[in-house]
Amino acid sequence: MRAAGSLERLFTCALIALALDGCAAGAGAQRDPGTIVSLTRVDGATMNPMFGQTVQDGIVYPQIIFESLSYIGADYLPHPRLATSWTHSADGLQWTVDLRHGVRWSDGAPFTSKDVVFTYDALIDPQTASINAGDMVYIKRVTGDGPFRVHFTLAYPSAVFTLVGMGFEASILPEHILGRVPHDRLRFSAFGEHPVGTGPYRLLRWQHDSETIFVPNPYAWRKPHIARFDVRTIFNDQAQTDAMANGSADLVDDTGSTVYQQLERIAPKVKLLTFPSVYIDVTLPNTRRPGLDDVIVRRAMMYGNNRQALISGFFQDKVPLPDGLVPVGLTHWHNGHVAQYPYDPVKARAMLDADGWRVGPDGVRRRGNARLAFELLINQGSAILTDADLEFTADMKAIGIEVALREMDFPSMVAREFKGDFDLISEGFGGSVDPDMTANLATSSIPPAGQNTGAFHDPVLDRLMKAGLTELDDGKRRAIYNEMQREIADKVPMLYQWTRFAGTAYSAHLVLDPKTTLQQPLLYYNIEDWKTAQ
Amino acid sequence: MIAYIIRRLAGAVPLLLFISVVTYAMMALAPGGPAAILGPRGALSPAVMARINALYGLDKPWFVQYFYWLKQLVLHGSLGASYVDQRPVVEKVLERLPVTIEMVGLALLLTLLIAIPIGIYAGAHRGSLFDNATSAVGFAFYGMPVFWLSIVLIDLFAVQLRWFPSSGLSSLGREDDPFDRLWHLVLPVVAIALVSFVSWMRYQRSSIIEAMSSAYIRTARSKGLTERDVLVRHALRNALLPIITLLGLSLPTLVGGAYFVEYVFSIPGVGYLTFTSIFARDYPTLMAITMLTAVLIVLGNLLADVAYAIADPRIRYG
Repeated sequence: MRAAGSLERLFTCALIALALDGCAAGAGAQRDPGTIVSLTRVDGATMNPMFGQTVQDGIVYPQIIFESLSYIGADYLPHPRLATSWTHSADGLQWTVDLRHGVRWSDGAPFTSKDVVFTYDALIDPQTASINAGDMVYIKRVTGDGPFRVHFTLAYPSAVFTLVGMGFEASILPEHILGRVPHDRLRFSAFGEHPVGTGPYRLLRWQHDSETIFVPNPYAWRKPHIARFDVRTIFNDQAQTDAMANGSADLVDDTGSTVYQQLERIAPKVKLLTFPSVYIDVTLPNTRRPGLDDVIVRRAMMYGNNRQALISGFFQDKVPLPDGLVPVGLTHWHNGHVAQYPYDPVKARAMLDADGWRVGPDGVRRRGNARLAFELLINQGSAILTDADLEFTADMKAIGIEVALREMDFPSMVAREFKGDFDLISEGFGGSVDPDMTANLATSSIPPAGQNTGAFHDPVLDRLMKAGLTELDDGKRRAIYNEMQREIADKVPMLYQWTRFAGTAYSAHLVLDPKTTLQQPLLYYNIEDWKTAQ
Repeated sequence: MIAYIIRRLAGAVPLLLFISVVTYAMMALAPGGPAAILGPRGALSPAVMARINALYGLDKPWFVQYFYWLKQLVLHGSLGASYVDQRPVVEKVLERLPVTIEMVGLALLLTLLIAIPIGIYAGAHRGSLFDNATSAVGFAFYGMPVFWLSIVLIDLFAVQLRWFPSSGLSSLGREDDPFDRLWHLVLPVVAIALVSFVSWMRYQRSSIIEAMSSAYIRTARSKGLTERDVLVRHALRNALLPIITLLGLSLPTLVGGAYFVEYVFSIPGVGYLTFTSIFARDYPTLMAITMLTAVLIVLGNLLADVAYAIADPRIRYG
């Protein structure tokens, strides 16, 4: 009996200890004031930027550890970084880039033109199989001219060379470490776990899918203020919210609308920023399918889709209604003077009637042997996406178009997309701060040659995209893309649904300048300027 | 006994080979491949994609790829490197194994602590209100999908009441605090225990019922022993034997992880690794996890048989 009583007391004490411990943790743990803790949902797989597959290892980590010849500034335009200046020949095929002096790698070795030549040689070599190789296809040759100058020879002029060809997609790697590794073995090099860069930070410790710790690179020329940058992988939205609320984390670079709404309740304890995203969620029609090859049907689908209701319902009107495939946030390029598609199901039905699509006994429109009945593939796992697409199917049904949802895992969806085995696919579009869409809309990009999986082809758009990609004069280029946006709004190669939500949350412990802060994943371009509150 | 064990182990080799062939074929024939999902949509040109496929041998028929995998395993004892991060898959699995063993081990312990006493009492009081009520409650939990129950637990105890954290293994800055870790494991452990305790409880209950109707129990009663003594000293010892078998069979679960629970609670264990590897079509990692689980199923069965023989002198293997 006494033993039972003792056990009971012991158990009670343990429970109390656990509960008190829990409360203490809930209230926020002791924090090192010099550390900033950032939260991410998905960790990267490698620190070698040539092979980064996710946003984290393809864009975020490279901006923290590495540097490229240029970077994207708060104006979404390229600025020199490891380069100090660049000039090009009149035909745009020869570029001369002067490099920054006095830069050192995090192991102390000096940065020279050899590193730049090595990096581009490896990037454009198909043996390397870098996922960024597709962004460098126009680069024919890179040669060094002394330690601080390089010459690029391009196959054709590229208007995106300074933005993409010199950007984080081409983060410069150390020749003195990787120069002897055969290009086809770079992917397997231990460098991916033990990187050496010229960026503001160096990697201190990496526990995959858990914690990545960066400390200042002692040789960095962009000296950071923050003593330790700690990235934690937390896949769960609620846990991210809890960590921000109890003060154990300082930054969620991409909150998503759900976490953002939860964090709004505890503002101003947490500071919040929203940005007009550079991503647009679209429904991609396969124009090989009868019905979807008809521009009248695609326009009617735009009119019949109550996109504003979706934006109000799911995003509380925090995201702009897109009027094309160039996001509203790209103010330098966006053209709003194009055909608009306000919700008008009556007009949609009238257009379809006039085009010969008659409503059949089953409520679905048909013309000859063709029926407006489609399958919409969506990536499983997103509640908002599923709900939004259910609303879309209801809107389409109201105008006589049957859409059946089919959720599937991402690899299976991509496999069907690239085989052309789909009617409609719900997916994200964009991400670039440049309006070029050649990879997704040009006739020459129809698979297997490229990624125009909807097989859209239009000679006018082909001409405009080619002209835009090779025009180096900014004014002329803007005029070309203004026209391209009018054509896109007219021909509707994709049904643009809503601009993706882009939000960042940060604690009072972290000092950011909202005027110069960019949306994730470009947020880290000026990480050396970030500070902790005194 | 030693000869028996050797025979069983030798017999397991063709079984493991068969499992490896079937698993590899299923993975390789699934839609989408590793190269197709590398990077954001549209990032890879066909030439680069072809080169990546060639680097990993994915340009060859699946049975050739399987042969290379097997050759590497037999000749070099290597399970290969991950397509995702190029790290040895054994290293990836081993770094996550302790987390899974800890979580599932605690869940198993909790399950046994709940299920065995309830099973014994229910078996000894067959048809009573307690027996019926515990079975009904147990089956209700058993019928719940564990991912759904996990979400309900998170909503109730983490979001509404805020008693426990909703995910992860530790609070930020308290990674070495065992109490904090335990506090984080409460909800996932309870989720696993709730959906699994009924099967253990019913096994225990059936064993007790069977034991209580045996001749030696009648003898014990006829000797004038109290019902408590009959239960504890005679029935219980024999009724615990089937549990040994079940414990052996639960070995693969202990290592393979509770996939859905790890995913919902963001526990970076083997189960979570399995999930992410499936979506990444990371064949080497999936093969390593599958083969590890298969080996443990074989060993678990063998262990159960051996333990049974040790516990019950009437059983002899020859």
